[in-house]
Formats: sequence, C-alpha cells, structure tokens
Amino acid sequence: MNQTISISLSNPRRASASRDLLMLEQRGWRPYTGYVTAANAVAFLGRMLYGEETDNNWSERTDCGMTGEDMVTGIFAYPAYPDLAYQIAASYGILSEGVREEIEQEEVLQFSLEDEASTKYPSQGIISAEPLGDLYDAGGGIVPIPAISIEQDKVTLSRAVYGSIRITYRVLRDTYILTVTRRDPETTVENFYSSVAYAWYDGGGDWLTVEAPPGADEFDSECGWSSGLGSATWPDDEHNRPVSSGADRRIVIEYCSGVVWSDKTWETFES
Amino acid sequence: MTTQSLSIALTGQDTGADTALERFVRLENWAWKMEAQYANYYDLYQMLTGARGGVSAWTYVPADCPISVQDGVVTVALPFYSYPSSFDFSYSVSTSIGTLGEPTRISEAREFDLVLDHATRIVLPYAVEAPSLEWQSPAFDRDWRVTDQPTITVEGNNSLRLSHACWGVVRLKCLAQGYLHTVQIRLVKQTTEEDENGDLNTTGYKIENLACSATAAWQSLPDEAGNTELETEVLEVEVPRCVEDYLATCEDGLPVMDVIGPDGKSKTVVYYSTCTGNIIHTTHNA
Repeated sequence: MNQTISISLSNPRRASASRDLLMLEQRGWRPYTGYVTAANAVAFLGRMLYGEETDNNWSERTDCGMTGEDMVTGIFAYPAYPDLAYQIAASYGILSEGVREEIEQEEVLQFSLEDEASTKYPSQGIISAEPLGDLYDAGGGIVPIPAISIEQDKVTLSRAVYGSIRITYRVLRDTYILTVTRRDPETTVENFYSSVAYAWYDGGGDWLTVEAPPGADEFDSECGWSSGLGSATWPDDEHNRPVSSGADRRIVIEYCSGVVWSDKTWETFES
Repeated sequence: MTTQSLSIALTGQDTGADTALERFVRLENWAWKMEAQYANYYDLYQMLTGARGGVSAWTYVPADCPISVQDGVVTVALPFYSYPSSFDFSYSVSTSIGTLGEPTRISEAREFDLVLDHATRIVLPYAVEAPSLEWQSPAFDRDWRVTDQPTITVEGNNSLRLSHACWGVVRLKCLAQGYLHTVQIRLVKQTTEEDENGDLNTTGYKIENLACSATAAWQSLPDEAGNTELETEVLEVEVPRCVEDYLATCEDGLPVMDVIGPDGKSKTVVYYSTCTGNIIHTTHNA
C-alpha cells in the first residue's frame, strides 16, 4: 500500500471552477487483483488432487497487477476541450504517449428543486437525457423533463425540479500508461512503487496519488505465494491430533505437482 | 482495561516546549501483511499435504497470523503503535479489552511521498530523527507555473517549515520515534456438548465480532490562562482477517448436515463442530 501524505491549508486541489479544465484519474485495479480467488483455489486443488493440467506457473493464475517486475497502470486525463494544451508527468515512473478517444459516459443526476448539477467528467456534449420516474416542481406537480444544457461539467435545466435524470454525454479522454519500476530495495525502506501523477496547463492543473495493487510492496509479481511461514497447531480437542501410534507412515509428495511418489507404512510393535 | 503511562526524554533532540506548537499522540495500526490475512497457494498446499498426512487442515495457521490455541483458550496478540509529537510530555495508553504488555520503544525507518499542497508548515505524523528529503517533482505556484523550490527546514522534530508555499512532491526518509504496544486477548472457545439428558449445552464465550479499541490520553499545552485539558486519541485496533476467519469457524461449533435415509424419507441430522470436525449430536427423524 502506498503512503502519501497531503496537507493543505485550504482546498486548492481543484483550483477554481473557471480553471478546472483538466481532471486526472487512475484506471482502477480489477476486483481481486493481488488475491487468490476461489476459482484460483479450485484450479490449484484440481491440479494437486487430480493432476488437471492447465499451466505450470501458479503465480500467473493470480492477477498481481504487475507486468514482470513493474507496476503498470493507466492514467486517464480528461481535458475540458480538445485544444487544451497541457503537460503531464509522474513523480516516479515513466509515462507513455497519450492516446485520445471520445467515450460515452452515463450518470444519474439528482435534483432537489434545483436547476443545476455537476457531472463527474468534463463534457463534450450531451447525447441523451431521460427522467427516472416522475419529476416534480415546487408545488408538487408532475412536470415534463425540462430543457438541458451542458458546459464542461455543469448541467443546467431550464427550470428547477425534484427528481432524477439519467444523462449520457460525450467525454474526451487521453490514456497514458504509467510504468513504475520497483525502487532499489538496498536504498528504499517501503512504498517501493509510490508515485504521484500530475498534469498542468496555463492557469491550472490536477494531480493524484497513484494506487499500487494490493500487496505490491510485499509480493511484487508473486502475489499468489507467501514467504511460507505458516504452521499447524493442534487444539486440545482436535480429533486428528498426532498421538503415539503403532505404525509409522511416510508419504513422499512431489512438491510442484503434488503427485504422491510413495506411501509406505511400517508397523511398529511395543516390546 | 489496562493503562500504561509513558514518558521518555530523547537526548540530543530539540524537543523543548518553546518549539512545540502542538501536542498530540497518534495511534497507528500494525501493518498486517496480506499473507497474514488471505490464503494463498502456499497455505493451500500446506493444508492439503497436511490432510494427506492425517492432520486436519483446520489446524493450519497462516504465517504471521497472531493467534494461538492452547488448552482450549484462543489467544490473540494485536500490536499497534503510539507516536507522540515529542517526548517531553507524558501520556497514557489503554485498551478496551485484553492485557497490555510492556511497550517497546521503537525507532523505525519510514519512507513515503509527501505532497506539498501549498502549505508552509507541515506537521509530520510522528516525531522523527535523521530526516532527509528529496524532491520528486518541480515546484508549482497556485497557477501551476513552475516556481523555485522552497527551502525546507525541520522544525522541532515533528514538522517541516517551507520558505514559501507551492505544490510539489518530496520523498521523506526518517526514523519514526514511538512505542510498539501489544494487547493480548484470551478467549475461551465456545463449545456445544450433549449432557446426560441428551440436551445440547453451550459453554464458553461467543467469540465473534472481536473488537478492541486503544485510547491515548494526555494533557494539552497550556492556553493563555495556563489551563490545560485532557485530550485523547482513539484507535480501533485492526484485527487481521485470518483471526476473524478462525474465530468465525468456531462461532457456535454447531453446523448441521442432513442425510436422507435409504428409504428416501427418514432423515438423519448430524451436528458437528466446524472447529474440530467432531460429531456432537445425531438425531434420526422418520
């Protein structure tokens, strides 16, 4: 987990509405990144118990969010208009060239007798709008959906209403690939992959703390495995608690495949 | 509840009251590793090979999971830190449950990115020794124009002073000064047994929703009239998932397994302990 501490006197993160022309966002890690999922476990046991062949590298079955030794993630920049000239950088790591695309974004906006709302991303234009349920005016009367205009992230209705409106709008998005190489463990204590992405233009900018995938510092690209220090304990009432027995049994199992090589029992007799 | 009082003076440090602008104690959870909280292939392999060797997989405790079972008593050891803003005042640490052991004075190497978000003074999360700073970005003014990087000086031993405000990223390396505390919580497992009348009786504590809070308390700096007041910091001590999972399997020790008889109508109900696998009780319904 990255640790970045941000302290501010006011709230300068988004400088001001008029200058708020660029927004940064990190592409989210897929669910279960860094974890052994139930499906992973079933596949692993299938191989161990029944010799099911799938692939030979168990760590590859778990999505560690890493590419080899590097953390690779997507950084999205959303400019308010196509000609916005901005620069982007990261405090640590290498950013690729940006790839621009126009995407459709869907949002549900809530109005409580208001005629304005904000979208999450700066808009390039509205595609559609539909009320979710009825819309009401100040007197409680049902009203048709008012005319909607949108500029950057500001949505304006022709009249104040109470209700929800789902809108679909166009968003300009530049995608950058950030590659972060693990810091030298000889000189680094923790937060091996931490980085801050920032972008700026004439008069404003935005930044974000890059989130590393879960367990990145701990496992690197081997998130499915551990250092292997687990141990067995035997509660008093454990019915399989080892006891002195009249036989010794030795089972030899091949470590990687789990195939039982031999299983021998030697009877021992008390003299 | 157990309480400890702590007061240790650092030597060679500028911790005088005249430089102390504020006084606080920050509590911080132990950073549990993922391998202590979530099963991985190694754990599965150990449980599988154990089961093949005749040892129940229930007995396996993942690496670094702070739980032990002895004589029917589950002991959970939960560490946490306290970081005072300086070492020239006393404070107490207590926990809502469990027994606090003797604290250990620590000086841990820490390293993190610090975003200078137009502040001219930054209070660090702990008192530090041997701090070093390295710029990771240019400095920007409020209009995001590149500006001179300010001079950064360490004030007291717990804050940074910048010669002028800017946005920028610096990497701070330091030795964090504080204490490591460990609270030991002993729990008697809840078990269900059949008595001589054939009734099921449950004994022991129900060990679910384990929650422990730690509180640090200290006297504030005197105000203009010389008055002080008691200030506190509370931390919900993090319980690793492996502990919760272990305790959850022993929550009531009474899951039910139904078996339909050979005639397709009669039903056998088997009660067994999820902790041990032992059959506790069996009933037959025609």
